[in-house]
Amino acid sequence: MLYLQTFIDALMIGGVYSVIAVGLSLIFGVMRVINWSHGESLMVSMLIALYMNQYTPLDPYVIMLIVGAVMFVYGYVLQSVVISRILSRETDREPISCLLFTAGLGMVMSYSVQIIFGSKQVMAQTKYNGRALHMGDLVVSLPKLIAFIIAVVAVAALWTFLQKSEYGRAIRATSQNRSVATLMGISEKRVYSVSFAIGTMLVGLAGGMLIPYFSVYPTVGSVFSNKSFIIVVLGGKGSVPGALLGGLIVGLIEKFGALFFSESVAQIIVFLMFIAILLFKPTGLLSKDKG
Amino acid sequence: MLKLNDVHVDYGHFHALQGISFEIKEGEIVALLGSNGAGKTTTINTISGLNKPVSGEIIYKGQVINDMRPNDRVQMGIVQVPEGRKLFPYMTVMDNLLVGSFNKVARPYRKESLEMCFDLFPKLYERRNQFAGTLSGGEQQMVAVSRAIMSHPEIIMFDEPSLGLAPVVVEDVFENIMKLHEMGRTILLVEQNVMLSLEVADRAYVIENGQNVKEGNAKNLLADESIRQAYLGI
Repeated sequence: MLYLQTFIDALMIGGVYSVIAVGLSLIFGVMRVINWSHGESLMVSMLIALYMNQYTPLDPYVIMLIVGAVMFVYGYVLQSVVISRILSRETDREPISCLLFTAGLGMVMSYSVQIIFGSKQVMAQTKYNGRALHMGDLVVSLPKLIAFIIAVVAVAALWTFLQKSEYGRAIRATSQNRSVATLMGISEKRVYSVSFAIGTMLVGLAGGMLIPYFSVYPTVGSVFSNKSFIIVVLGGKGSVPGALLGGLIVGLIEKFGALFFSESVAQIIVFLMFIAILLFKPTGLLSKDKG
Repeated sequence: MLKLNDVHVDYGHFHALQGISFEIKEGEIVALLGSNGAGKTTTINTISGLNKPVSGEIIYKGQVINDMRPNDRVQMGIVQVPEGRKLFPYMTVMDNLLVGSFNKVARPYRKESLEMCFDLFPKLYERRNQFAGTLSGGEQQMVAVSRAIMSHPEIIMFDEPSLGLAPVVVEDVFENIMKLHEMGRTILLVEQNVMLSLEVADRAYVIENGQNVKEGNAKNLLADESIRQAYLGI
């Protein structure tokens, strides 16, 4: 029973990891830009959700959708106005200057929040806090369950969009060969902006679904972004199902590691696994890419 | 239909095109000949918009298109079948074709373009759900040609379509180029296989070191002693 409880807990946190990692993976897969401000975008999303929850009567999950939309616009504008200009000066396929820019942007975001709001941990008060479903001996936290369901639905929706829709096909084509994609009439810049926007939108959704059970503080992003990088490498760079699988695996290792050893040992195992993947299967579990 | 006026292109300090001029009239097959490094692919990519000329003009249907983005040129009817096929390897054959008709002008013709492709290459219909990367070289060339047809082009530019293909397959490729021509497409053909190119082309231009050196009727060039010596080795 304890194992089943741990398994459920692991899946539920793993789903949230997945949705954050999928955003990172999509941006990297299409643009070859590693967005180092991904975690800070999450932190800002949580902060917006926290304040909206405090000052509006809206349901936290309605707020989540609004934050998702806000972050979509943020990602679109950030890419089309700022990053595209840096990118256009880079001839390299994996542009270093964008990496440095997003890393710097992340620092600016987290320190600005620290200056303005202080570094204390704040927990949102929603009507879902602490609510749980009891099934026999099993206890399932309601906000975690909702977060898990939304996360899986979001990842599945993204996957369907990429596989079935006209624009999704254009995004896939661009990620496989961007100059040939433009020769097919696809605007590379627009695909980049849409992909970046979807990536940050997923983070916005994650921020919204986290606030009923995760407190907000200026460096909360790094808790998730470090894991996202590991998940992206584990699942395969640019692979949506890979990020879902990777997120669930990391969730399982964390929870079972904590059960058998301790939470800090669990983190060590996650990083050891990361190193092992880099050494033995650097393309990740589900990547189609061979190199 | 398409005209290049003294086009110069630089790659950094390398002056790749040093004044290329030529013209393709509607319905023609024009071959662009020259040895490795002469600037043939650069010329095609400049017409597609991947390279930007430092001077000179590219005129398409009376309009200077120097500053037009590559994706907008596709919409105007200029498409290329790139060297080495360059399919999207992890997409199915069908998806590769559908990407070809992404642009707004081509999309309404999607269904009939697809029928045209499968008429021309029945084998692709059997392979439609397979990843393009798993196909043989000849089949990949079929997908590349079909992908171009899907974008509802008026002018198709072929960059080394016979590269890396078996001789039997090369003949098929040229047969298909002729078929497309009969369907009313204008064709610019860049090829190392000078003999075959001159057989199918109406006219040809010879370029060397990024400059025009010779032009003329394909039959005359085929008979030209210096061409025979330089490119045919006979």
